[in-house]
Amino acid sequence: MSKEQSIKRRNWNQVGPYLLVAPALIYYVFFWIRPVLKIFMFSITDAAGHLSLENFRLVLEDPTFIPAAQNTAIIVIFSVTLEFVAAMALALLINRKFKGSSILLFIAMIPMALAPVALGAMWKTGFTTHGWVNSFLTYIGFLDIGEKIIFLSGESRFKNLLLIILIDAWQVIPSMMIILLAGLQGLPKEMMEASYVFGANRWKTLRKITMPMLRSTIQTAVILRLISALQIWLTIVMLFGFGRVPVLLSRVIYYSEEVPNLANSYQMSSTYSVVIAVIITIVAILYLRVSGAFGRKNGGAKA
Amino acid sequence: MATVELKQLKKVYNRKVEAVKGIDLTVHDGEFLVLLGPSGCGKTTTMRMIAGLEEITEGEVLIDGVSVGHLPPRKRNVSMIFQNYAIWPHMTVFDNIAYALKIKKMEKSEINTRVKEVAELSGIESLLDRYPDQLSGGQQQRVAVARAIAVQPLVFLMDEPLSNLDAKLRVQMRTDLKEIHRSTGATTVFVTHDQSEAMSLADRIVIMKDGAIIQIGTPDEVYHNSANRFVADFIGTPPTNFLSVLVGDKEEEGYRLKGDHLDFTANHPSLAGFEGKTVLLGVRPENIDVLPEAPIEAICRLIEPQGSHNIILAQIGEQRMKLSVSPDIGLKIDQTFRLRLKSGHYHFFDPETGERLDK
Repeated sequence: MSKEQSIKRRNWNQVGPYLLVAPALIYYVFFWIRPVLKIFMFSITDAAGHLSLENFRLVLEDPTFIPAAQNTAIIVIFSVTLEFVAAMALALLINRKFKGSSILLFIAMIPMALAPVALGAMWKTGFTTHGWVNSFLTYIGFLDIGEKIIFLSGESRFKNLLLIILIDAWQVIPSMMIILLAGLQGLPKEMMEASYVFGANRWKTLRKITMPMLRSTIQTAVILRLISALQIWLTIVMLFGFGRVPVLLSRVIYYSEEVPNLANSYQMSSTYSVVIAVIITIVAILYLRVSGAFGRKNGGAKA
Repeated sequence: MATVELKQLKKVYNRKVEAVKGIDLTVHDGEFLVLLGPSGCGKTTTMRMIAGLEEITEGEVLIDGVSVGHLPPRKRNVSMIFQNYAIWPHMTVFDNIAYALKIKKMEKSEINTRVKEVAELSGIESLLDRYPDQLSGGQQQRVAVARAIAVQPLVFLMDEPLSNLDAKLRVQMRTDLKEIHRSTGATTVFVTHDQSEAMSLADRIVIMKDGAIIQIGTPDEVYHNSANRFVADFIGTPPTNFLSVLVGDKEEEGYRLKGDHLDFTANHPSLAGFEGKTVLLGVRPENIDVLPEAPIEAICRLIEPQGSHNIILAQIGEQRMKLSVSPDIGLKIDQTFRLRLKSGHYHFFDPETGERLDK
């Protein structure tokens, strides 16, 4: 290699990597950082454009804030727990590779392919008084002809939340199951077989070997799910509108879409976004800490 | 400790593939038995059926006379060393070894004593607080051995436990395993495809092929009295040489044997009735002498020095054979020399069935 070539090469080595990341960086700055900053700016300015923390006071004093936060918390806790248990059970079942397990996998994946709007519409038509859920229950003989269960118009908060959790779980279980299944398939079979040989039954093997070895996969699945459960809104709005079962994120949409003409609509909407972002960050860090993702020793997780 | 009996043990996959074709086998008390065969011969499947990790299609497995075919692995009182060690990465070495003992609800102090004891026996007493990813392959293997000993099982099952170690470590672990077997005296079933490993470890070797047992015998028996061509070819490095020869009439000194560039007499009773037919002569590389006045002329084609001896690739007409000779003979490549088969140290095999003639 001539001297000139080698200088050229050195220059490329210094500049090249930056050139290669440039398109991604530009995209990131314009379509990610800029809107985020803008939202942040909105949240700390009042309607007249002056710096102020007034918006945060308004959000916290919003009579809907506390119920929205409560609803979100309930949905997050129960739906993530339910989804994890069901997804894990399903993943373990499909991983056993019995006859027809691939068909089961295919069927289990269907809800994942549906958009939340379609989902909301589907369950809304299902749960109206003359919807298909009641028809089905009548058909299988659970209800007498003419008897109807009123799902949506009842004002029981418990019933509404239960409905939301079940619908959310129905949609989310497949994606969680896929992550867990991938993790399960990555585990060497010998690890579980050794456990059986050395005296453990299936349940003990699941608890002492499979789950601990799957820990980082479980963490990934749960954290993704926690974040998206904190951001649930579309299905709820489709089913109940904005007022009846408020959640945190539906407040964001409420201010920007339903009442966009208030003097401070965008400010409120942005402030809610920032509050949600802070909550998500705190929850995620708490979860990772509790599940032991930090401070793991030498890559080997302690049981 | 215990005996293991297999009665007409059979494994069929998907109702079509016969992996194990109904084998009968008895492992004696305290015996080190090696299942040996090429991959796909059913040796691992057989072991997994003894362990309970594979369902039995037909037949029976008896441990100490008790049929265990319907029991889950944990109730069979066996322990196993896996090919990839299968030590659990999220537990320390101590916890790995103590796992089975804790499940048995053993006293804590007793567990401590037992773990220390087996760790010492396996040479890992200083590693008990470590995690598996801090250990070398050989150390991980020793943890697997310690874990298997700790439960004091009726039967040890070892599924190619040395195949992932490097060559030097493998030879060392062989010695260690044999010593551990001597000190524990446990009935052991060991699966391998490596014939030299089988030879050096086994009390008896079971040679399997295509799901059936071909020969059972001590290392000496299977080496010197191979039941058929497959065994003679599978055992030994280099394996048995085969020369096809035409059996002539019986003369005073024995049968006249003729082949390509071959013409000598051999007194071998098994040849009776084969006059005028072609048979396969099998001779081990070390059972060939190089002598100036010997009857067979050969050309030296290659020399593989082994230190203690040289392996010579010799050509006799169109046929090739390997012989193991002392380096002092001083053969050179392309040199013509004369050789002789050591009397009584060769066998004849049926060229069609491959079976040994004097069985």
